[in-house]
Parts: sequence; structure tokens; C-alpha cells
Amino acid sequence: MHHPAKAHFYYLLPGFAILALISLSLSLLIGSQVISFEQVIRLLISPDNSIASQIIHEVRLPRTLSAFAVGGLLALAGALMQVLLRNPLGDPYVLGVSGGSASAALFGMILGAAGWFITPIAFIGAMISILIVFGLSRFQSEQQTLLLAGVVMAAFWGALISLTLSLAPPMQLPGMLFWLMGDLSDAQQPLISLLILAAGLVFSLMIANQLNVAIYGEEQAHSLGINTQQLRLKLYILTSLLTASAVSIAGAIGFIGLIIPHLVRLLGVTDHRNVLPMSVLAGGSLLVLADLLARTLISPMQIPVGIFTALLGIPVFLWLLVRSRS
Amino acid sequence: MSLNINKLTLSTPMRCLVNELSISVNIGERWVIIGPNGAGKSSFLKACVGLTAHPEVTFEQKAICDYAPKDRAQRIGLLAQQSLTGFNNRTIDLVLSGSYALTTSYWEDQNHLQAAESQLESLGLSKNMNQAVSELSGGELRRAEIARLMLQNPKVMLLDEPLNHLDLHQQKMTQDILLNHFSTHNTAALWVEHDLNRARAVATHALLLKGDGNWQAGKANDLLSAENLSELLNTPLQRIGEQGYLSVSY
Repeated sequence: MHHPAKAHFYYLLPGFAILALISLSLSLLIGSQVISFEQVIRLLISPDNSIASQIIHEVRLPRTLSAFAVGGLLALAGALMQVLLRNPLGDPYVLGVSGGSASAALFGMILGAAGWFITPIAFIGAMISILIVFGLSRFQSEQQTLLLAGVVMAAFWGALISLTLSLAPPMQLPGMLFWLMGDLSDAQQPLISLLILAAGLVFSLMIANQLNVAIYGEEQAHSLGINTQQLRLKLYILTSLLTASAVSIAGAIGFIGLIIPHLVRLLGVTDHRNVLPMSVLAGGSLLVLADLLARTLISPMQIPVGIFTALLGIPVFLWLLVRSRS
Repeated sequence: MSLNINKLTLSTPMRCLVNELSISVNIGERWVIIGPNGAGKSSFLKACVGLTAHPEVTFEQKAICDYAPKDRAQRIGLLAQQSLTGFNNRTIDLVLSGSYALTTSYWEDQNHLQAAESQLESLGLSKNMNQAVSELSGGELRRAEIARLMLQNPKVMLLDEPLNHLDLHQQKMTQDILLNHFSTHNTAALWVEHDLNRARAVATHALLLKGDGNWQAGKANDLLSAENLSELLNTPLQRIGEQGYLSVSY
């Protein structure tokens, strides 16, 4: 008999890679300035001083790659959180990690932080939030309670954000909204994000076969030969770093981490050695396409991409809730 | 080769469950564990498999909690009382997870894949192989977990009410498959059982836990008498029929 997971890895995974390539190409091709496919290819290989070249290299390419990296980071973080919580509703946004990050960023801005200082502050906010939510699991192993704690934390951060906004000077409001809605228009340095994503994926794949055992619960996983405490710790750290990176690049973009791993699983992919890389490719592709819509739909105005993912994600979330009941 | 428990004490914040328990379980022995609800039977199995760190539990002179996880899983395995299903994983995935401790390669061996399939076949689950675990009935899930434990093939098997949720036909069939596995692989077993007649049928030894710290351990024939079990379970039992089956007087 053939190995079903291996077959998925060799035959289905390339399909996801093609999907990613298509979405990346579309994002480079489409924009307010019309640039032909041949021209895009030529300019990617050999940049020149033309306006088209500048648009490709300084606007579309960094933004597209950032979108892909952030989408991949969020989908990977979601897939891992779902194993950690043994709950398909695990997601950085739902669990309030994004909210903690945004709260910290806004608070930093009120105190006068600006530019690149915001990123580490947002990072710390995400870490604090995830520590609070996961810290509860040390005392309360009931996973539903943990999920509830995350949701309540998200509401708490929401209140804190509203408070900050109501106290903030009007001048700062537009920049602050960025953190609340998720926006890729300021995303630069795509290489750093892509490197974090690649490192996160490699590390996740190294523990992927342990995740296949961990889904049966701590007792069984232990008895089957897993060091469950160590695995749990690795997952805490990994999901925190992935989420914090994504949020500090693009603000609070919701629901990618929830819907993407779920859609991958709905395709019949059960093995985490497949679920994780497929989620990265599909999550990256989805955010690239969502961002394409966000910047072209009512061009020249831009809509924050987080609005699109929320409009798509919330109906899917509700459907999942109803489905998991029945 | 044996599993040794030397002066193990287990307690809840409220009371002592087991006080200074010492037994030695050797290969080929089948121990049944009997006691009233809440007497600490499951806690005892958890201590044996190292879920709670108890250096009093040793295998080949080394504490279970000191083994590397995969080495430990090759020596001792647990069929927990509660079954947890994963996401949309299939029955074959569940059984195959039993091979985790047996391999160092990234993908499972072809041999383990075939072994998982034949375990499922022997337990009558061939048709459920590619079915999602969450869609299995309670009895099917239980048998799939037993198939996983037999694939893992530890030297000591801890079975927490293994035949729960099975219908009468499956109980008998699965019991025979387990007993056959024990004898072909020289497996030692610790088996929590509420059905006293089954306990008498499968056991070579017995461990009786009273739940107040007191315990009795020894040969099954000596301990599993109507008088002794009546006192342990606080229920009058009588022998019926030629086989001497135990029954509650209703």
C-alpha cells in the first residue's frame, strides 16, 4: 500500500505552490499602472530606471512579498495553535494575541514612540498576550476554558484600544487605525518577514510528526513516546514568535489562521507534515489576493486588508462553530 | 525483565488512595486491577506509565520517568480510559501513530503501514480504515486504539477498562485477540476490569485497591474469591453454575 501522507506531500503540495505562484504573479501584474506580463518578467530580472521598474521593485514586489509572508505566518501560527489547544478554533486573532499586540503599539504611540520603535513594542504586546492566555493552561487544562479565556482577552484588548483611541490626539488617529484593521501599505523589508516564515516552517516541519501524535491528547501522546511538556513549550514559543512577527509587520489581520488550516484539512489532508506547508502556501496566497483587492477595488483609495479577511473570515468562523456542534 | 513498583504511595488532596504499594510484574503475567470507583485504579496506571513522576516505578532497574520518551514507549504503553479524537484524521492515522516510538525516520516505514492495516483487519475495522476517527462509533474507536497499542507493542501494556463500549461479540473477540497478543509477544499486562468473571478468566495475578490506602496483591486464584471480592466491593456475591461464575444477589 502507498503511504497516503507521502502521496499528498509529493502530488498535492506542488499544486499549492502553483497556486502561490499564480497569486504572486497576479499581484505583480495588476495595479493602477498597466504593466504587461513580459515587462514584469523583464524588469524582475533586470531592473532599469523606468517608472515601471520603480513601481515593480519599490511598490508592488515588497508589498506582495510582505502580504505572502504575513499570510503564511498567520496560517502557520493558526495551524500550530489548533494542535496546542486541540481545538480547530485556535487562531491568533480569536485568542486576542493580535489585540494585545495592537494595544501595545497604540500605547507606545501615545507615549511618543514612532517608526521602527513601534515594531518591537507590538512584538512585546503579542508575547504578553500569548503568555496570559497560555499561562492559564498551566492551571486549567480544559481546552474549552482556554479558548474562552482567549476570546475574553480579545474583548479586553478591544476595550483598551477604544480607551487609547478616545484619549489620543486627533493627529495620530490615522496611523493608529492601521494597527486595528491590518494594513500592508507600509510593509517594507519583505526579506526579513520571509526569512522568519521560512525558519518557522522548517522548525514546524521538524516537529510535525509529533503533532500527528499530540492531537490525541496529552495522556495518549505521552504514552506513545512524546515528551509532551517539551512539545508544548516549543509550540508556545513558536506560535508566539510567528504571531508577533506577523502583527508587527501588518497590524491585526484576522481569521487567516482560522480558515486556512481548516480549508486544508477539509481537502482531506490529515498529516501535519502536509497541513503545515500547505497552510503556509494557501495563507500567503489568500492574503496576497485579499491585498490585491484591497488596493485595486476602489483605487486610488486603499482599503485596509484586514477588513477583507474579516468579512470573509467571520462567516466561515460561524459556519465552523455550527458545524462543530453537530 | 519486570516492572517493579516499590512502596508507591498515591493520594489526592483529600485522602490516601494507595499506601506503600509494592508489586513486581513479570513477563507473561496478566494482572487485573479491581476496586470500587475512585479507588485510584486509573491514577495507578498513570503513575506506571510515567504521566506522574514516581521514581518508585522501575523497569529493568531504571525509573520509568527517567527513560527517554521513545525508549519508554517501547517498554510500556497505556490504553487510557477516555478516548480523545483528533481533527479529521482517519482511523489508519490513529493506528499508525502507534509506530511513532518505533521509528527514527521522518516518514513511517512501509512495514509499519502494513502492520497497522493488518491490526485493523484483525479487529474487524478494514472497512473503517479511511473513515474519519470522529465518525467512528464508541466501540470502533476503542478497537482502533487497541490496534494502535498492539502496533506500538510495548513490553508492558496498561489497559484501563479496554473492552468498554464493545458489544458482547466484540468483547469476546477483542479479549481473545489481546490474550493472543500477550502470549505471542510475551507481554505483561495490567488490566483494569469491572467484570469480575472476565477478570477471573484473563488474570494470572490480581491487585485489589480498596481506595483507603489498603491493597492486596497476589495470585488471581487466591484473591479473586467470592468472599474476598464481596468485601472489597461491599456487595454480596455468590457463585452460580458449574463454572462458579460470580453474580450479585438481586
